[in-house]
Amino acid sequence: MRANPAPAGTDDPAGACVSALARDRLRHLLRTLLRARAYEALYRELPGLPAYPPGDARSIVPGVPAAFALDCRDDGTGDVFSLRRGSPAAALAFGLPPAALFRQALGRRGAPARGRDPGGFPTDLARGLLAPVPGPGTLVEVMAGIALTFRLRTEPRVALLVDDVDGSASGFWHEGLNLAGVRRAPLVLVVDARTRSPLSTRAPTLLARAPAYGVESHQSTAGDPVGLLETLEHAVACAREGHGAQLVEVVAGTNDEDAVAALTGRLRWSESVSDQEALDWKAAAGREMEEALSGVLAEPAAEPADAGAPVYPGGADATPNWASVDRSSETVPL
Amino acid sequence: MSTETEAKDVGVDAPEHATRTRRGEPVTFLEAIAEALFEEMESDERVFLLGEDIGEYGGAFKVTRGFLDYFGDRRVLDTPISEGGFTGAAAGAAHMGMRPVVEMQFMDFISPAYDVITNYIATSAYRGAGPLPLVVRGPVGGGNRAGPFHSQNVEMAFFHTPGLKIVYPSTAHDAKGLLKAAMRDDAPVIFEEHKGLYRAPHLREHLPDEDYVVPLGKARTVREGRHVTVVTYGAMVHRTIEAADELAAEGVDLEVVDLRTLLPMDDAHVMDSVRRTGKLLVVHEDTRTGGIAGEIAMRVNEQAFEWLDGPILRVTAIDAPVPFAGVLEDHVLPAVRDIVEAARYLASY
Repeated sequence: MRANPAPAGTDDPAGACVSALARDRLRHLLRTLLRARAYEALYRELPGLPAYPPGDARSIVPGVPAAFALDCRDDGTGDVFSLRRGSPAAALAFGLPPAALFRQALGRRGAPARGRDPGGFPTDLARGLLAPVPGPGTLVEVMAGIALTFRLRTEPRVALLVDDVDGSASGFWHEGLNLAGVRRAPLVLVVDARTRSPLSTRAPTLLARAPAYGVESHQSTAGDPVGLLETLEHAVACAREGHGAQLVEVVAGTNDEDAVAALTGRLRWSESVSDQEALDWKAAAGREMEEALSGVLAEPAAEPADAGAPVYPGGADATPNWASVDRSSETVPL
Repeated sequence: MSTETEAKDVGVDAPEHATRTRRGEPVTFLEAIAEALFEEMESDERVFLLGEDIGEYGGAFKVTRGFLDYFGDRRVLDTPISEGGFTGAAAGAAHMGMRPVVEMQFMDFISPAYDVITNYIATSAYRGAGPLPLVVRGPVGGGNRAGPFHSQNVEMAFFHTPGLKIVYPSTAHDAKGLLKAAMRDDAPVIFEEHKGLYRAPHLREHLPDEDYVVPLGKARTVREGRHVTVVTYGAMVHRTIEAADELAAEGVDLEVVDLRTLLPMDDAHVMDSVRRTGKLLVVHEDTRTGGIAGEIAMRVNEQAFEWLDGPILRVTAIDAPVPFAGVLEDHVLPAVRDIVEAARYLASY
């Protein structure tokens, strides 16, 4: 079953959407963006959570549109998605229940990480989700390997990573993208370059690097979710069709609120959504997140024993502290 | 990649050096490794190889000579010189259900991949991101007049990283069985191959015809003795046996324990031996400070202190990079006479 279906057709029932994307798909995108914003709003109010990722880096754009551009299937045959530091709420677009996000963030025992990893979304490879890690560039290497696997197995699948621009200064970023380029692996590397700093690169755009890697490149603004989605879908299609790795630079955007407002405005203008409907969606998203959080808060937290049991997959627990070992049965030879 | 092939479908012969056991011939240490790779690739399509010059060139030491022609370039991948990049890519492939085997041309070059191995690969299962069954293998060790960049032992750079396994075989039999076990294990494994053993004539042996593995985490008593336990691994196993032969003439019996797997370590085997001899000498080729001898000594202190009848000693390389000139390298690396002297001292303590 596909949790994030492609448009049923190219017809636009409303007849007025400036995008070729189907009306229902854009409505679905707006609802997902509203759900993601509701999750983030609630997350920020939770006490005692780790400082990472910092609040100002938790942007739902371009994460949600990027996830939306992919083919998610819950039988593990779809695309694979990850992002380094953007909003974990992008995983909602891949069908991940909000409770799974809260469970991970709050270190609940029922989360795959069981309190061992602080944030992001949990890995759920059946859905195509790979948990983010903070190391700049590391995920470029790993996702290049996932894309390479698709290439070796001749599967029409794509690995898409949303990364921050600061990772582009690392050797890992270079080695991952270069390997994907050399092997024509279907990696789509989306770089959120809105906070580009001269400390990261002197190049006027990241696209300037693309020819050196021999990869195709694309650029879009974050303030236009429809245009961004179209760009991302094009890049994904190119990768899927065998064009090799794709570099997408997201620039000059506004904040999440303005991006959502822009999409809402377009849908209202085309009478694809009413004011009341948008308000209802927003309220429903808030209720959904509140209910999910409430349920997770009632779940058991991780326990000390979870810290070391096990360390190896299916293997032994971590070595216990000496003081915790019962030595009463040992005798001293004289 | 437009030339990707499935070469074995067009009648390419299997690599000779990777199929000697099938023909009833003895194998070297290197050929045992090639056989392990070849047989696992034949029996499990999830296994593939990646590394520098392992395809057309057959690898710096020719471990994978002929593999590209036989398996095709979907199974044997020459990579750019980017150890971090292709080790990270192996992690991604393992996420997708593959069982990649990464070759480091020399294990000295694993350091660029240290980040992805320790921060990403070793923690994946622990973080709930799933197991990453992959092997990073390659040649280690000195004695070849190859200098500081092609002679290192790397085990202690990874030994303190939970989630990794570290294997360091000393015989052709163990090399094949341990590598097969590593490739079937769900944990990431660092597999060290001492290049001085690769083509050593005295290590050539007949291996079992049938498929076999040597379980990870199990040490082996190479030689039984009453007076001193010597715990060692890799190439030092053979130097320790030379020392044991020499001391036997003096009436000193060394018990030689080959760890085979360094992490997780077979504590029970070590303790059993120490409790019988009451003396422990640890021998390793790696440098002294922060070497595995310190960890073994501490474990014996915790678990078998009451059985000790003398100090725990160690014979190791001195704390210096491995130099190029022969006279210098011989001074740096542990020699048979060092083992003899330390064991003799302990036996008489």
